[in-house]
Amino acid sequence: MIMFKKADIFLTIGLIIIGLAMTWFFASGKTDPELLRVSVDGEVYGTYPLSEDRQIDVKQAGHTNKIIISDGTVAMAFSTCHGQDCVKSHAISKSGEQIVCLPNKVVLDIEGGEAGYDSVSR
Amino acid sequence: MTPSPGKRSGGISRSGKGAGRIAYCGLLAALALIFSYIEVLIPFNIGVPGVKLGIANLVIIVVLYKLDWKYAMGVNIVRVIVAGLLFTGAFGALYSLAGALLSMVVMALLKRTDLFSVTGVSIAGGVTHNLGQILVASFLVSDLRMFIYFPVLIFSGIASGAIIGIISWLILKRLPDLS
Repeated sequence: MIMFKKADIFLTIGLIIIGLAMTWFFASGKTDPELLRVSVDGEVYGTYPLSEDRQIDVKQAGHTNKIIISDGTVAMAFSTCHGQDCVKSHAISKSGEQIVCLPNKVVLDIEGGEAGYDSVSR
Repeated sequence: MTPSPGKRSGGISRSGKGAGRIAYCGLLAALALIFSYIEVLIPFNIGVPGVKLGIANLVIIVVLYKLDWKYAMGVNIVRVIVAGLLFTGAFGALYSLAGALLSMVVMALLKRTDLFSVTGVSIAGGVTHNLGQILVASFLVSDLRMFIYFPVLIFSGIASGAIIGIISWLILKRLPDLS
């Protein structure tokens, strides 16, 4: 009985190649560009890439919201609502994050990109 | 009752009685369970779930080589279910069971080809154990992106499989024939 046989070495090399190929495949796989989705009263108002700095004015039913995208983060700069919670909320930049302006029924959320994993049970 | 030649070659029961087999299975399952416990005791976490040494596989490989695959399968299933209930919970047992069954089948088949040494069989077992676990995990969360872990798990499977294989080889050299 011997410790290594030729086939073992081929097997190991084969597995290492598969592992490296998968690593390369995952590393080169493009992640979807992150998009800001603006919804008004449940309807999609528009989607905008985070990579581009811009200002979006959402005017509807007498309400106005100003959204600013800069350096990949999204913030509500101005809102005609009473509470101003949306203006005070933190800027968002990651997939799944949201800013909500409840009185004006405006929802900003970010989709695409790499979602942060939740913890997985061991 | 005369035992069939096939039974004799792999079995330890000289008279064809089941009691000896059951006793052996229980003994070896207990040994494998202790190895599982030691595994839990060793703090070894590199941040990727599923990466572990798999020292319980030591017992399984020794059983696979010294007895036969049926014993190894029996010991493995008992070990995984009991260890799962004791240490990791029902879902942990589910992951382990998938990994254990897949690696068991692969190891038994590779051993049968006679092309590979213990080390090669153990490496294949380590990698397919991780493959089985990740298949169940990605099925449970229905997200194939779980496979992003797979390259890491291939490498860790090779490494731990090689270590366990070499230790098994050392043990098998010294262990007297069980049958």
